[in-house]
Amino acid sequence: MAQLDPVVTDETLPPLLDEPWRPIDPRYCGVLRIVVFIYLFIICLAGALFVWRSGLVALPVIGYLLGGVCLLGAFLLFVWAPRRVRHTQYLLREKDVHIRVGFWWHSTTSAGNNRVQHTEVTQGPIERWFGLSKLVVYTAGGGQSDVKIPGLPTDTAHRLKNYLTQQVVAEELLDAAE
Amino acid sequence: MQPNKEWQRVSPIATIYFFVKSIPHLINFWPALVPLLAGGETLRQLALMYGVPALLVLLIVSVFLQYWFFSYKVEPTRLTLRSGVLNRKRLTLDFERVQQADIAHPFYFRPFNLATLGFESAGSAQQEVDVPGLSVQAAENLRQRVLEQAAQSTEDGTIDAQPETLDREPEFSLHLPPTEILRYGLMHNTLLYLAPLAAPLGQYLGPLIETSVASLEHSQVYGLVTWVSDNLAVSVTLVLALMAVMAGTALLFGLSVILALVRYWNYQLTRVGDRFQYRAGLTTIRTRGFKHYKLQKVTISQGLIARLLRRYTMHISKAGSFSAAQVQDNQRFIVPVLDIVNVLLLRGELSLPTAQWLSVSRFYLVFPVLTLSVITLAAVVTGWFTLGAVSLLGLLFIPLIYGYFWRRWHCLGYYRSAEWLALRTGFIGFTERWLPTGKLQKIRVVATPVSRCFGLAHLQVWSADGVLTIPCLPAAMASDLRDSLLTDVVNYRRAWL
Repeated sequence: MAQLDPVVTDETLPPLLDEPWRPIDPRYCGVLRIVVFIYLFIICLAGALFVWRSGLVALPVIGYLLGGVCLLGAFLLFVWAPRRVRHTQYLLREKDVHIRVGFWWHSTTSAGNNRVQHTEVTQGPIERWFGLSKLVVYTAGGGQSDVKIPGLPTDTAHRLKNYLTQQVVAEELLDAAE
Repeated sequence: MQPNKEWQRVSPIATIYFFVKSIPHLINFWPALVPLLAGGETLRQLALMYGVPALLVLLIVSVFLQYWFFSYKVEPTRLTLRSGVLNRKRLTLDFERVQQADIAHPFYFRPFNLATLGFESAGSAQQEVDVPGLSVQAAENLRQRVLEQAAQSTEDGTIDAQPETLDREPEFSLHLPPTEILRYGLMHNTLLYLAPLAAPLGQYLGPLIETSVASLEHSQVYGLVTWVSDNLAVSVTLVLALMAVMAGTALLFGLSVILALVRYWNYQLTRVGDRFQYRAGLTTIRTRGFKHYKLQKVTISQGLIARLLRRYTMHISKAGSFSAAQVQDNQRFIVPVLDIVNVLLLRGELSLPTAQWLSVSRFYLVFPVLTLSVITLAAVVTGWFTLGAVSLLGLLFIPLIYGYFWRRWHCLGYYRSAEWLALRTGFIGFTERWLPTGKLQKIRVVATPVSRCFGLAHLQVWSADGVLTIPCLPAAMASDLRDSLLTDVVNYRRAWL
């Protein structure tokens, strides 16, 4: 890999993989479960309505379909949600911010603090119930280029947001000084 | 144009600009056509007598009001516009945020020595501002001020009021003669995509052709058609259809060439200091410029026809045009046609290094080839029962699939130099995209369940103008590349937006 990376200097950032990644709050599992449950409920309701309108003829087919959906739902509720939460970790360093997520599709997203345009803490109704918030860090790369850290206790989210904002300001001062 | 605390109006000639701008809005009156079509003859008479003049008066009044309520104010660091008749709008544009400044000389302004000054600013919603009807001198001065200030305020925070690059000799200049522009018209035939739309017309054309065949019979042309049809033993209809297709294609290419000539007539690219600028156009002469430090992406591409003509096209993007495909060519900084010498010269100007392309893992082709081959096999097996041995011909698709993906893999390459990350893709032609590594916005390493089994990962990088994916890198290499790119980003201390 030496030919790949001609700029290895003492300024090179330490490798990400060995850093002390922080897990998100386990209560986020509850948020995911409720969301899954709401979807399940809507699908089952639609199925029941369909059976009610079309009579009992459709019952076996719909029954199998709903059975499949419920199986998938159970999988999402009891396997996917806890594992997803376990696999979501974030890392804030002096100069950059990272989030890694994924049950099957692992992805690690990174952005430099000097590219941050603005930061935001959002909280949906279910998250509010659990006292959790989501930190969103926006960069200038258009619609998809934000870094989202879900499942943070609200005060932590605000603390991280303040920290990031300070870092961004510090970066700007540094830029201006140079 | 000196800074001025007063609101100023543009030249009255600008009413032509507002008039031209208003015409598309007339489409909003289309519901009025419904009663006209449904109503009787008298209604149509009345509409013609009173409706059309009323509409014209409305148009003229609205154009005049738009002109009357349009005013601008130039301050040392920003431009403020007031516009709108009923919905008053006030727009403030900081010079520092300007990504691109254009001057357009539409044909209706040229006799009066006026121009339209256009700015594009960065932001999640890209904003465009037009100031029509400035004198050419004033527009040129204001544009200079904006570009100079945009650069200087980011460099040392001070503002130099005296633009000085205006009369400096360009250090690099490139002129495209009409023959080259003509090649662009052939290379980028956007109208060709319209061709399938013409197909439904075929059913109406059929009877028309038949009747015209009857009248053609005695003419010279028919002699040619029958000669071709006799000698090649194909039917007259087929010959006629082929001729129609050829004539249609020729027409599309002709139109495309004419459009290219109108848009890029007398194309002149110059560089003064770190400022690039081009000037081109037949009916509307457009001057477009940007500063080198605002560059976010360079795209060099060569399509099928371009390859035959041995020409290349280069796009230079600034922040904000990521809002994707609808950004048309006439809004981007483009160098339409380049031969290989000019490509090398321009690459030098932009300090793009010579790339030594690295291949991604061969797994890039294994997965799609395997999946598609399995599907083909399944189709052949099911076909065996219904069609018999003929279905074995389907197996011929497998080498084709392999050949296609092998070629895609072969053309795919990435390159990382000290300051650039480049990706090359292609099948017959190619597209090279170059991103300055210090300006990357976000970097992501993705491992899918399948790729993880093979120890591979995809690297995605977001620039301020779009995303670039390098697929199928060994996982360790992907994270090393990510770490080194991230180092470049956090250490990049110059102005970048």
